[in-house]
Amino acid sequence: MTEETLQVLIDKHTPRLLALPNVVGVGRGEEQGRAVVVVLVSRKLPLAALQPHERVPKDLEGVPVRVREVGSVQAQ
Amino acid sequence: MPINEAKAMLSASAQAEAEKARLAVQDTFLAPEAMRLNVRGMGVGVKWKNGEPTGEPALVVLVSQKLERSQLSRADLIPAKLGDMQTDVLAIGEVFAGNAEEAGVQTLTRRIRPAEGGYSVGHFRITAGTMATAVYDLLPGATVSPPAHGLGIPPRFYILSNNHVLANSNDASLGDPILQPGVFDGGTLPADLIARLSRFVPITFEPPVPRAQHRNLVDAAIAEGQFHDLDREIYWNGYVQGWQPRSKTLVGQRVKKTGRTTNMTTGRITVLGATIDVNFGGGRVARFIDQIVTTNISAPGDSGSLVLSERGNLALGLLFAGSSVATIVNHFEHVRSLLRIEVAEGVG
Repeated sequence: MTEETLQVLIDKHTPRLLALPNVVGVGRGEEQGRAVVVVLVSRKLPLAALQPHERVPKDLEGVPVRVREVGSVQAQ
Repeated sequence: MPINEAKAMLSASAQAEAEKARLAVQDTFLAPEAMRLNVRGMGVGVKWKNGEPTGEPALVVLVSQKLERSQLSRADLIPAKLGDMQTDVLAIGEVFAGNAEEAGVQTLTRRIRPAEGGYSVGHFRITAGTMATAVYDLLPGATVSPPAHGLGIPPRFYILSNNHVLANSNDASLGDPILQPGVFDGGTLPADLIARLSRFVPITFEPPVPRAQHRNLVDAAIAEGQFHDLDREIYWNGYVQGWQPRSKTLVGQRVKKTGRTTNMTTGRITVLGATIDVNFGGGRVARFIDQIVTTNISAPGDSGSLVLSERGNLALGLLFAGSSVATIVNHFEHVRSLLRIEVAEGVG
């Protein structure tokens, strides 16, 4: 998958992901040389604390999703 | 009792062995999402036992403070070995408190002429941010894609920084005074006036605009100053050699910056093409698209720092936001084309 196709895929899902609780950002990352979608959250919560419809999906059309806690993002 | 000096030093071979071990484990161990409590970094050093150096190599884990085992969860304990190398734990304190606008002992807050990248600067109604570097107008023949430097005589010279540093988050008027150092660092009018606001890229905020409609690409502005007051050298990082197109910026690339609060720092790009919501205080949020996320290389007051490729000194981004674990950076290519400015003669 090229960077452009991945970005198109991410852009398509971004509005829905950003509407989830604690999600502050979405982008593309890499894990052991493999492209992944990165979802940035202000706080990681245990799955049990979230309703099924509030959970970040495990993948986007087959591309793995990684959730990363970044805290509160402020202009500096 | 004096320590055994010989055992406080590593032989070249032990050093190399420890460096190899560090390279093998560091990325995993210091991955922001997996960082143990209090861990601030790691390095290579000598293992100490019972207050005595042993002369053996160790991976030294730097922590803000040491805690009793019972105060740490199992996942937060530092393992006795990482990879094949024994570990040691060294407390270094909080080097830079997260919420500090306050100047530490070593910050770039003094008055300097000519002003150079990395030093305190700011609109007369804000606290203080960082001067990225000095820039000039795009010259005739300059293009964005393919990127090319023009030819000719720059008519004007400017300080580059963020909109929220030089244009008070859209609330400034063109021609407003810019101080070096910024007000928070003791800058006053008229003694420290160095430039006047020339152009800024307006930021769309919520409120009033719902963030789903935001397409912010940069938080950037320029203020015109006099050539003899502006130097495009960046303190401790030297001269910018050119800029790196967005297409050449990769996840994992190593970067560096010099800023007013945390001085010279280096980090790594972790996420590209990021859409991210940034809090500007006062209940205002702006959503930015196509951002670079790096490991934490900044603290409040570093806004406006130029982010450079670690090798080659190419401008690749403009730092504007962050959290305790990540820093958010605009692509320099967007800053250049939206402000119509040039940073140096080369393209990387």
